[in-house]
Amino acid sequence: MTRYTLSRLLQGLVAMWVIVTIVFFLARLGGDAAALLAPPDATPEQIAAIRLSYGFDQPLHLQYVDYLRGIVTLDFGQSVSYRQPVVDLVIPAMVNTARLALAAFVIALVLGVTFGAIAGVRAGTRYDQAVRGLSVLGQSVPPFWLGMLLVLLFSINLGWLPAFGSEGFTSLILPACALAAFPLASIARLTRSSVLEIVARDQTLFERSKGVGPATLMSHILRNASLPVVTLAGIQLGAMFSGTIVVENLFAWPGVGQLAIQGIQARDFALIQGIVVVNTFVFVALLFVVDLSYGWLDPRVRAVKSAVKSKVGANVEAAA
Amino acid sequence: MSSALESAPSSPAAGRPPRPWLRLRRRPGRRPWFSGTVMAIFAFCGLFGSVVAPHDPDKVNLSQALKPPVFAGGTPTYLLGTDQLGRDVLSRLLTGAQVSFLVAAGAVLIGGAIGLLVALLAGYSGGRLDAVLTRVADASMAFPVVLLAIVIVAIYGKGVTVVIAVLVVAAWPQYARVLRSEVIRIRTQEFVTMSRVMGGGRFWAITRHVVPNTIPTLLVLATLQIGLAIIAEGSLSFLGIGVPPPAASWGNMLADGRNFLATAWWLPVVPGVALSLTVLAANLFGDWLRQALDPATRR
Repeated sequence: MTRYTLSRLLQGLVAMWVIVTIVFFLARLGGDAAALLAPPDATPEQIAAIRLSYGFDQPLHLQYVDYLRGIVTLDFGQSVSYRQPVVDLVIPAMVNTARLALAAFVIALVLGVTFGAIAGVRAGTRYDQAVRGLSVLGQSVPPFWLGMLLVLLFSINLGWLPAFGSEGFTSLILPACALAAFPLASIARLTRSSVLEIVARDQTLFERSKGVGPATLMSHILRNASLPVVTLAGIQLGAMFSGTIVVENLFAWPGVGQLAIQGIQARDFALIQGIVVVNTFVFVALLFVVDLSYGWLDPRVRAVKSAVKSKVGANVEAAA
Repeated sequence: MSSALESAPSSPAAGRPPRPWLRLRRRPGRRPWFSGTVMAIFAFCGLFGSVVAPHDPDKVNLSQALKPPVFAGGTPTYLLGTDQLGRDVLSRLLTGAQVSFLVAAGAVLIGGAIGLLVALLAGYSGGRLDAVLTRVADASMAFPVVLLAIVIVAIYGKGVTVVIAVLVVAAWPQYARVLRSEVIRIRTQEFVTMSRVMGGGRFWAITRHVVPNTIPTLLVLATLQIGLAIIAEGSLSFLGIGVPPPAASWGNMLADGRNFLATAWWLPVVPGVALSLTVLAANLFGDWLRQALDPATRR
């Protein structure tokens, strides 16, 4: 298990390194990096000063080492639009984003697994058809438009919930629901097909013939069906951290997405770079946790992880 | 064609490459009427939207501002109403379809081509190159689309080309991953080995046997990517980092419309319905295509 954990950790670090490197070269290939970091109204002298203070006049490999050192020590430089260290801006925003993403994730996971499992057990019934239809619909409606419809209904027409802001629990409900729809739909679809597959196996028939009660049977089916669902859920949770951007924008939620859009408008590249790095870190960390949870859910993974993983990947692709 | 030939993965004796997508014609059962029709309408508007538009989509006419659609008490001159500047919503919708169509087509064609190329390279070379390409694809998939767009827009500025580029960068690994395993599966099948035995070169095997047999998978992936591309264009334009206004795109219309949720509901609702319907149709069509082309479910 230790070896498995270490190899996963190493893979995560490599993935992070690749992305961080891509960002580094994208910024330098796009022309004058100092001009990117400078405020839009900077004079040539100011740009020259920035070039000097960031070391843009140095050879590329030295810059790269400096850049990596900054990331490891959580030093992303200074935001030119806020005149504060980037870290101090990104971390509180990330906490807000995490609140929203986790709330949406809980909704998506609980409802998605419930609906999907019932649809899988009762395949072919009207309930199953409804779940399948709604999940295709849920994967087709973009979250920002769904959010607008929710605001139109619950804020403007019914007046039950606030249309924007981040005050209190009620303001979390609409953005979380808008964000949850897509992952909910895909989790429901995958759970359904996964449960369907387990139900068709001999082990389920055997348990039934032994007289195992419905609750126990269901828990066995769910545990067996959970592996692909966990993979998908992990990917969806990671995707949500960036999917929040549009929803945050719509609901004026003070998260990373809002910060990134402000960063673009102010041409604050240090801020954007910091956001991308922190976001990537969260994503890679989540995938790492997901990988570890396989080992916990299914002891076979520890032994023959590569074989099982490729199968899981195929299932996820087939259902996504 | 005899049934024995039909069930073979390809007809090695035939002079031309196999065309597995012809299975669609022979497939009995339900036809995708709804999704097919919507996709056809979308393609038509994507090609000729600005030609059939009843008004100039950018013509500002403040005296006609915020007229409701005809079914909500508006006039037949403006079937779907007008926006805050008096521009005709239907005309903007039709012109916007061209943007969505262009973005979707560009992202799907270029992304699919790159993905297929990488898949062939990885699937055929094996070894270290395969490992590197697979890792790069995995790492690129970890990079969320919107974040990628933010980085690229921050560096290169906005535009339709940038939107397409972002989507291509986001989409190629998806094709590459799935097609790589397809390539490996096909190239190890007996009919490909036979073609080598009979003296066919590697290039022959790739162009005549492997690539044509990946087409069904490629088609399914591409159809499902259409929906994602349309949503992505909408999201980016909605955030103000996609297609630059005042160009009519569905995302721009939604971004404008959000300010009129309480006063002119049709401005946010109409483009959203068009967008969601198109994506829904693309997803349903992709699902149908997958089942229809999958030899395992073929009867």
